[in-house]
Amino acid sequence: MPDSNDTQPGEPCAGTGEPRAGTGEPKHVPSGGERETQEDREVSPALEHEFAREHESARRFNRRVGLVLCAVYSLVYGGFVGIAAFATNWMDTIVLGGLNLAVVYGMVLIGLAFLLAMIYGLLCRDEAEILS
Amino acid sequence: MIYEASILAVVVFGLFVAATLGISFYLGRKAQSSEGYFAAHGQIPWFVNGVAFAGDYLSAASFLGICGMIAAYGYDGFLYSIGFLAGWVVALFVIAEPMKRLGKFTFADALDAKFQSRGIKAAAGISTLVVSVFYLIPQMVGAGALVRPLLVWPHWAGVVAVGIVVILIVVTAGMVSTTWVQFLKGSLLVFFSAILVVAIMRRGLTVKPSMMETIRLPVAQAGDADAGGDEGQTPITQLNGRAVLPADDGWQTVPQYLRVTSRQGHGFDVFRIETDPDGGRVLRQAQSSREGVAGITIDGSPLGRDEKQKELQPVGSISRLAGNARSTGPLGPVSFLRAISESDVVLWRKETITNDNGDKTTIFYQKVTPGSQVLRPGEHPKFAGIRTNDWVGKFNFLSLMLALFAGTASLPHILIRYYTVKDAAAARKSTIVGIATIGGFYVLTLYLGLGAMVSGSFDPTDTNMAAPLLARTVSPLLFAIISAIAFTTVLGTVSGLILASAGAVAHDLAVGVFRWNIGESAQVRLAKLTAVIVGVIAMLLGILFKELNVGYLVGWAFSVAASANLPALVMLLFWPRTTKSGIVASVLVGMVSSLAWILVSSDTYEKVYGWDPQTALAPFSQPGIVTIPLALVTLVLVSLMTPPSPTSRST
Repeated sequence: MPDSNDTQPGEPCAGTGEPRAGTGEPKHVPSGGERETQEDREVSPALEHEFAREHESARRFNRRVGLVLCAVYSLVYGGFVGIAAFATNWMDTIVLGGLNLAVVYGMVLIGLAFLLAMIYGLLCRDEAEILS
Repeated sequence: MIYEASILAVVVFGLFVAATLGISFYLGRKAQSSEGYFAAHGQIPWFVNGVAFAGDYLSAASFLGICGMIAAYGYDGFLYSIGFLAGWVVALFVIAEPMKRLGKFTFADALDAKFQSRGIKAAAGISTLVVSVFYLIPQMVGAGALVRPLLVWPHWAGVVAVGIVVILIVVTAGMVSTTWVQFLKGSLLVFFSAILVVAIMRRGLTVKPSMMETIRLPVAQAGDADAGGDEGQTPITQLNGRAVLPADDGWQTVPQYLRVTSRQGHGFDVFRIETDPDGGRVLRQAQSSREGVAGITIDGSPLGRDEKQKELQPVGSISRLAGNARSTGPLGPVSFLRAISESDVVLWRKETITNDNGDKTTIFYQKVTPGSQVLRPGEHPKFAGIRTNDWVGKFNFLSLMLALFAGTASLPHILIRYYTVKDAAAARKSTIVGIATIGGFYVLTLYLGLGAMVSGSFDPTDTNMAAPLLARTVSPLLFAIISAIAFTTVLGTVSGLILASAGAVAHDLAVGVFRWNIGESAQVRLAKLTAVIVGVIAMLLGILFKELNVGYLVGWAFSVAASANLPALVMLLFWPRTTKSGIVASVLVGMVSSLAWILVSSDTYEKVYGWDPQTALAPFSQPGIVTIPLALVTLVLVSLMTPPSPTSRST
């Protein structure tokens, strides 16, 4: 795993105004000619550094949550594939509502994908919210 | 089966195509710049992008291939649904946000964000082209299968029609029109599939009188008169007053079949002889189709609907319900599945014989199967190995499921959708919407497939038509709508694939690798030219591979994508020691090894080259379980052997 202080390869150093990787677009810097919105208020270098730190922290947090949830789903998926391949007859066992393990486990996998996706969506920290 | 054109279907189909093209031409003005053409200016709302993910991803393989496989074999087709959806978990949790942050227009942008290497751009661009073209084959095959019953065009005409419409979509407005076409298609597909499923459940299950004869020979008669060719048994010379035809012209090789003079006065009727548990025998009517120099004959009569002609009958029925009931009445989601599992279902299988003059005769025969077997894995020939001690079969299964799990997050036409939204949070939200939409649809596939299995509408010669033909049993209008949606399904996915290919050539190869100094408008023009060329190639391949089940073909595309792209992408994100040489080597080794494996696999030997599958070099058909780790190991070894690039982070 990358060191906690690392930025992702190609990611912008938030707050520095460096181009985003591949995009060639500078980060938005409000100019005097634009109508200033709440988001566009000038920020001090210290605050900008704080934003960058929060940004990176949010990114790391999201990535960690994603990896944990991915590991959970991989285990459940791996269990399904393993049973199907090496204990195939178990799949014939009636387990719930007159349905066999194959049907119930398959439906659980589809439902679990949605459930974990929702959990991920709720847990993730939004970088845009940090800025605002 | 012979299909008749339906005016209603033609009208609905025409409306869908007109709407699709109308959207494209209307949005064309928004896609003049490369930013607009390749990434829709990053202005697509996340919800729209999420549904467009579904429209992009739910291809002909999902709708036609999976439903067809479930209708023909039962649960095994649902394994694809499970694997296809599982891949989205990897896409959401691991790939979505970094992909959006790192890239601009193409998959190669993201992979090369750290190194700015021409080698990476070249490898990723070629990989994108290969995966996209590979994935295009089943889509085009599905298109050809669709227009046959809808417009009564030959297969090639459907392929060419899709090719032309898609080229128009991509050439006019690139990602902008592609997104909205995919959004439209994704919404309609899920909505009308749900309506069809509700209609199936309200109809329930019914035991209907079969058009196929079943004759039971009593045990006493079986003892002294057997036509089965079993040793020591006397052949039957007549069956219920009909003369038995001699077993010649290739039929002598299949003694389990009996041909008798037809009640219609022309041709013959075929029966398959089976043994009952009580020792008696059951003769179940089969159907045969002979193709050769003299054209097609069905059970000895020319194909057609005129006098003295025959056609294959649609099949698929319930032969017994629980408690010997005649009908279940309306059912719910659980009771529908339970009712199937407690019933006996008549499935259809086929085998082929060679006639004396070299013609091929395919015999379609009934296989009465307990519903409990229909709803378990391991009944399809490709998965049958998991129910034996055959390790090759088990590896083939594991390999496919791994490829499906790892493949989604590696498909270039899916990955480029992340550039159409404004930021990483929108990429995340749109993926969640995509998972909800796609997951909901995959649940429906089980009901659609099983519904088609027992609907009496199944075409034994073309499993891909199961879902549209099922809709026809509900209402002609629903058939027209579902067929038109299925056609739009192909349009949406093919548009995305051709756009990904166009980006790979115009952006990655021309500008990134060959350093062509061309402006934005020239880049867009080059992309459009590429779209035309790739579209033509896709049409040719769609015609060439028309015999293969689209679901299985997609399994191969996933294997190539997962082998070539995923190890490089994941290691770039999570292993700081990754070098540009490691990435290039990994992409090339993954791509070449998986392609080579497929080319020497038994399925390709049998269905593409027409060779004996037993002589195939690859021990099993699905390469992922070997080639994904191979690409990963290659990346690690090459990265360790090459110096870290200046921009590489220290560990």
